[in-house]
Amino acid sequence: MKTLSSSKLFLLWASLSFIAASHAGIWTAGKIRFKGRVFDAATKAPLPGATIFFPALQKGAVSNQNGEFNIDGLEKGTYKVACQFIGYTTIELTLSLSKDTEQNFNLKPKTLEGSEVTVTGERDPLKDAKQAVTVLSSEELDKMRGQTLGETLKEIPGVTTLQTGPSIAKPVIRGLHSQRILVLNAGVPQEGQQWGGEHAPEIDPFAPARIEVLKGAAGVEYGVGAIGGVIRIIPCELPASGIDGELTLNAFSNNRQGAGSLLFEGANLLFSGLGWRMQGSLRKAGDAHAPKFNLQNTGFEEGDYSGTLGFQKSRGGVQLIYSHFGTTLGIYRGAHIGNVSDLLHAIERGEPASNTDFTYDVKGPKQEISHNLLSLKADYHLGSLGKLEMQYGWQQNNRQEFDAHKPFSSEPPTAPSFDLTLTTYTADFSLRHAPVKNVFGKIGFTGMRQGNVQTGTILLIPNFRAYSGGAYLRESWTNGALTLEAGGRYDYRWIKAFILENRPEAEEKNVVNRLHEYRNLSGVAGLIYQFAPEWSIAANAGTAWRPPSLNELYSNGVHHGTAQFEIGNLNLQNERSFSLDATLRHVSARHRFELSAYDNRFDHFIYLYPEPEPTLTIRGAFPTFRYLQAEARLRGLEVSAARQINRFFNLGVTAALVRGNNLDDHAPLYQMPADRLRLHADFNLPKVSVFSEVHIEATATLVGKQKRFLPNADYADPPPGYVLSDLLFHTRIALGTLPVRLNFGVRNLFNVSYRDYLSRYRYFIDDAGRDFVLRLHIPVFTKFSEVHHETQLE
Amino acid sequence: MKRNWNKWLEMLACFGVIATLSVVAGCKEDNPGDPNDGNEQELITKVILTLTENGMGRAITATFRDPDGVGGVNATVDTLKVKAGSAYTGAMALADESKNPPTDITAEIADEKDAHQFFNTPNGALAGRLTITITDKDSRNLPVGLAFTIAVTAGAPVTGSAANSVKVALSHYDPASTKNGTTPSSETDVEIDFPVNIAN
Repeated sequence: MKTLSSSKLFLLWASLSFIAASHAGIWTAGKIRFKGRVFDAATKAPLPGATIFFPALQKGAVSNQNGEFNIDGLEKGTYKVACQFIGYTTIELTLSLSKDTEQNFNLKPKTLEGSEVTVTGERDPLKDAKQAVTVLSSEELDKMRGQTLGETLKEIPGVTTLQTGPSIAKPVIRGLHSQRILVLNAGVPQEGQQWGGEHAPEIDPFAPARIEVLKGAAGVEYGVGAIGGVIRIIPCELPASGIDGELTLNAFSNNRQGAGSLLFEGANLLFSGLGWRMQGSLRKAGDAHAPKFNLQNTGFEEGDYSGTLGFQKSRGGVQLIYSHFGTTLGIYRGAHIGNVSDLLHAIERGEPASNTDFTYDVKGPKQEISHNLLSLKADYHLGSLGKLEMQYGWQQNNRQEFDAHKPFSSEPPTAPSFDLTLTTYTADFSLRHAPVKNVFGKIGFTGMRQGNVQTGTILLIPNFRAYSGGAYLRESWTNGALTLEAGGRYDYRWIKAFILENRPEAEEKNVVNRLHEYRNLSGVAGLIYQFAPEWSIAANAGTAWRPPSLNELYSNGVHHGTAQFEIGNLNLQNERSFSLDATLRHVSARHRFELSAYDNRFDHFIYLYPEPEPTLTIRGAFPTFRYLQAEARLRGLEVSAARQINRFFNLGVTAALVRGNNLDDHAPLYQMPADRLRLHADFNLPKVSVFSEVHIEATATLVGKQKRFLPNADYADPPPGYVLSDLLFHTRIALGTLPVRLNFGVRNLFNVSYRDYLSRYRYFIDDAGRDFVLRLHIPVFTKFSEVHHETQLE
Repeated sequence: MKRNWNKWLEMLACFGVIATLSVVAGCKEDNPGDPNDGNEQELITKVILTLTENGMGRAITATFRDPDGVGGVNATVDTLKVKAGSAYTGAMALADESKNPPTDITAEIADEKDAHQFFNTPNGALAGRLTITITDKDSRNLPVGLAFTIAVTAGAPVTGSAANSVKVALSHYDPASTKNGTTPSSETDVEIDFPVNIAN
């Protein structure tokens, strides 16, 4: 693996220096001519602007408008030649040149498209210095299996989580979360119940996938949900041959969690071109422990499964995915309070009211959530026109929340206090046109229909039905070193809410229909410029918007656990962002450096404003917050740097700062992540006795205290900063004939008692303490599939 | 080339029709329609303090009302008027008036008396002037608070206000074994400040 990435790195460096060299016009003469054409393997269209390069000779060419290239003056010999182009998988060949040679290259498009705003993930930046992609590969995710999606993403600078105990983590990207972040699961925008900070994305942490995070608005491609960023869960490709299987087993000491996942996949079972995959996972955990006490009722139980069928032929393919996510999550018992006095007592006490013992039992308050997804994807190559893609999605999300007990009684509740079922149908289709000279692009249309039905005792949000539609166009121009991009989009949303009017004097309760319509434009322009070998800069300006969400329009009640009375605002308008973003990147054999800066301004930023008068209720007076809009500005910096000290030892550092301000009130925005610094060192040893590929990683995460907050607007000041240390040992051992991957780690090594500012339980309890983690990945059919591969090759 | 175009248009039309039909028509299952009204939460919207001066027949009351529950129309609270140097016997009544007909919650609290206790605290100028003693007991002989006595010391008159008030708080204990008769629970069902006038 190591050698592969360094060869890629060399290639990149070489091609960059070639570009520089070709401008300088330095050439040596020889006799042999090497020529050919470059095509898009999918559309069969010629590809202009591709680089063909002999690293050993420091020679190359760029394909012309017809995809043709021509390299003269080569000496006899055996050489490696590489053909590469942005957005396509590089081809490397070994050639023996003895006479003039003609060779065509058919480049395969990478499955993912570059996006305007990007992150480069932590560990695999080498392949994408120009284009903005990457993040956490399936293999990297394996090191963190069993943790929630949010936990997993925390490693990326600029990403934090809004945490509700150990089991609920909502990703926060550059200070924004919930309705401002889009989660794309297998190409379908995840439509769960996103009404509260304790509603986490419904994603199986064991799903065989790669995760990409786009930081910042990506509204042109992804529509109104993507004002703050996009998290893409991209299922791994189905195998092209053989049969394979993997068993993953995890154990966590802190909450005595056991987890396992079993996966089988294969190809050509019934007929050629048919790939399939089945996967299922189970997780069960009991109460988590803070260093000083048990966290009562924080266990969970989760069972997920998915199945994929795919059929691929040269001109197109179809893929069908069905997945189910189901979980029962305990809510910390002590956060279930009656009124403000209870909350103030809990803060003053600083620990749970009573000591409890560990248990796996999850009682009320609890959440029971299921999410079912059906996705049908098809693509078809239209020759010189380009590639047509279509995706249809059906999702059903059910969320039931149970109280601790029936009112005035110790009996557990028989019915959930709210029960919401959200059904969403989506359809997208797009045409990625074949390149016209150096211009690439995509035109797309999307549609969505949604309905929400609730049958609980509490009206959290009204029933509603929504339709939305959008159309977008994105084009990019490139000449290799410079890429320019621009795009625009129009969206329309129609929502009808069914509101139950609560008027005690009326005999019958009235249902009132209220219609909301929102429409607007998004736009983006950006560039990526390789201004020197190993150095590039990406810059981006864009505007995106989102309509107010149903809870922002209609909330009217006390939020359990935070003792806040929240009032919706029917007069909310569209929120609009204007963002500027720039990233400087350096990638060389031993160094990696990335600096990103952004400045996002919001018109009509929706936020909760504390009302001067509390709401008087039978449970006392509750501080009252109303959804209002103001001009806001979020600025930030993210730095990441890594240095390879030698073959065995790497050092790295990442840091992220966010500054959020309400410009109308001249006040800091509420709940912005505190400053973070992460240091890591890793040691790689090829073989130590029975362990091969030994990898030891030590990480320290330093989180500052959030000093920017509105005094007296919160019950408790932000908690002090903290330092967490983690250790991870990763290796491969032979278990009989099976190459087993073993991963042993300790999180919160020094058992530090801390509270994160973005933890919703910070008023009540500390976050979890030390946790020993053991993970095993056992391939089930490796030998079998090897045999299978061999027969195929024959 | 022409053939290509036709094929392309065919494909596009096909996808378009499928996508549009499936999204717009969908199934009927998710029809939101009218919100369900049959499964409402039980609330306390009304608390009545009734005091009878010892040796006199006439009862005086003070009522807290929030008829539409939390939010909506603001709650109202009456001022309780007592005489300096007098003693009263009191009763607490609770009801849910958001239902039709209204539900009596007093009986539910009495049924669950092992899991409940009232805490009554005179504040401001009332501190030291009012002595409130709970007279009813649960199965473990711990106070409940649906019945109580109030003794008012002789002295200067007091005008009731948000500051000069008695805080009436109903603690809910879950599990009931956490009730010890002296410590309020971490879950409060009712918390009301009743302003109290003391007249000479």
